[in-house]
Amino acid sequence: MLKDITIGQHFPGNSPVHNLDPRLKIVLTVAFVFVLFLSTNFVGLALAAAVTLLIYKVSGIPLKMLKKSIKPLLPLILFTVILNLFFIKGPGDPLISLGFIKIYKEAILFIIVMICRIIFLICGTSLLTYTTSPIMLTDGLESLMKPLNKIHFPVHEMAMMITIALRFIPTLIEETDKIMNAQKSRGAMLDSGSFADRIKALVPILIPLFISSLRRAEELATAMECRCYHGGEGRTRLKQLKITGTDITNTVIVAVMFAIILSTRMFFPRVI
Amino acid sequence: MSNMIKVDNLWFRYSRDSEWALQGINLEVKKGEFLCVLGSNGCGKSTLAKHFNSILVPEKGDVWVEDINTKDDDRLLDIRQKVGMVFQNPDNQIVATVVEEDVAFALENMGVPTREIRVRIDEAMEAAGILKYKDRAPHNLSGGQKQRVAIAGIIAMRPDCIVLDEPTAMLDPNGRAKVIKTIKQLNRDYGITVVLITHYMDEAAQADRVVVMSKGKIEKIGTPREIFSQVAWVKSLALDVPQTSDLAYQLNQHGYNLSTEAISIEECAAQLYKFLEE
Ligand SMILES: Nc1ncnc2c1ncn2[C@@H]1O[C@H](COP(=O)(O)OP(=O)(O)OP(=O)(O)O)[C@@H](O)[C@H]1O
Ligand SMILES: [Mg+2]
Repeated sequence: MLKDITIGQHFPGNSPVHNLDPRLKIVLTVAFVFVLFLSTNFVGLALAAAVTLLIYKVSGIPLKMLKKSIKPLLPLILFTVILNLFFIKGPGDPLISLGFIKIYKEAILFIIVMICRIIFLICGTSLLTYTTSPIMLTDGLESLMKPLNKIHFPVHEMAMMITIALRFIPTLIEETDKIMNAQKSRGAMLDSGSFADRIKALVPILIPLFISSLRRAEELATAMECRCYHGGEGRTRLKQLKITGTDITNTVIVAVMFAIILSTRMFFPRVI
Repeated sequence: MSNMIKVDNLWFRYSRDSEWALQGINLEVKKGEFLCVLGSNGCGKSTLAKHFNSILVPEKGDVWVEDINTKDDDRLLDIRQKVGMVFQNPDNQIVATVVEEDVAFALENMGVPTREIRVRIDEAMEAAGILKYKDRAPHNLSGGQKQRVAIAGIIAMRPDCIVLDEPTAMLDPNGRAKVIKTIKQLNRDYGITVVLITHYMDEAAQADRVVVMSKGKIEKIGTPREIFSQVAWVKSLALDVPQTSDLAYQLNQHGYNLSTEAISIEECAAQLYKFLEE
């Protein structure tokens, strides 16, 4: 049952989006987030939507994947909508006025912009995890954060931790399943009872899981030592990140599109 | 023949107030041999194995890998490269999320240039028979395949010696056979010295020499034939003998006169056939 969970969804492929160097991809994603929050007019947002769709098209990721990633966030979006609808006040008269509830034009505009931003934000950042393997992502992060080494931030260790965590997620899920079955076969009631009962029933699952994880960690550490692991110093990589000519061209194209979106600020009035 | 590993009066305990886990071990592992270590649970096999590549260092006595003392901290990486180690649970030795990346892990640590890593991991995966799984995620492989990934990760270092601590204990018969076949190939075709710790007597029967341990001491060293022909003595240490020796032994108990030295199945069958003809 737990096996069906997929984490860090990655759809391998061979599109220019997939093949783009992970460092550039991370930088572009961050830039996209900024662009979104600096777009304050509808033309800019429409262009942002067009760019997102275009990149999805190129990457070959089916758009219905988007539905999946947006769905869990619907309550959050709804919450923002309701909150803002009632609390944002404009200078003019309210559009609708029902007793103490007053809804202003500004509130509606703000909500539309906000929803657009959140949706594009999810689309853009999901694209990063859809098209980049977890290993490439950590490699990219490690490489981008390398300058932090100067202030003694353990960059390599962080990247190694993420890699090991990713590697052990399936193993631990399998183990949790086993322990749950073992406890159920001894009469533990995991799926029934009150909420408090169910939380309590988790204790005999978590404790064995922790103990076995500690043992695993120790064994893994020994195995890593046996394979000459001694930190990040003097390490080489099997897959070295390399920025190709195509990568640069593609990045420039995307950057120009971002610039166009931003320039709309100068020609169109702010709506919020 | 020169020594791969030399253990000289090794004493070791896990803490000041615990019992000695190893009590005066003397052992020479010869270059190119296939050595098997037997002993009941808790007799110190794993503890001894961990001394071979400096995961543990002796409290008294010395362990030498070729001419390097394992207490020499400056040569630690050399020792680890020369003597590779494979453990029982394959899940707890695999670091990366892709098979080939895991096989490359040791080489990355050693600072081997990228282009050479590629060549060496392909070689290692070929030797371990896992080349066709190189792009798979390790957790989707069977136990036997995972264990061969772990072995490939070690042989990519091009070690002179591989120490395997019960590598087949968690595998089904099919996975076990494949792993043992891989180990024997490495020993025969690549001349890698193999130290195999096991509870399976049929695996021990294929070794060049067998070391029998009990309670932190070495009881006896000899060829499988010499060791397993002494069925009563082996059984007194709470160990098994190969089924072939056991068969002859059981028949002898009923007044027959068969040799317990016939430890391979062919030998045993030939002996029985001859006996039945008479
Ligand atoms: N990390 C440890 N800390 C303290 N004592 C330990 C530790 N590991 C092993 N021992 C003790 O050292 C002794 C030898 O253990 P060791 O694991 O070497 O046995 P073994 O022959 O490998 O057994 P098995 O066949 O079960 O693997 C045992 O008495 C054990 O309790
Ligand atoms: Mg052991």
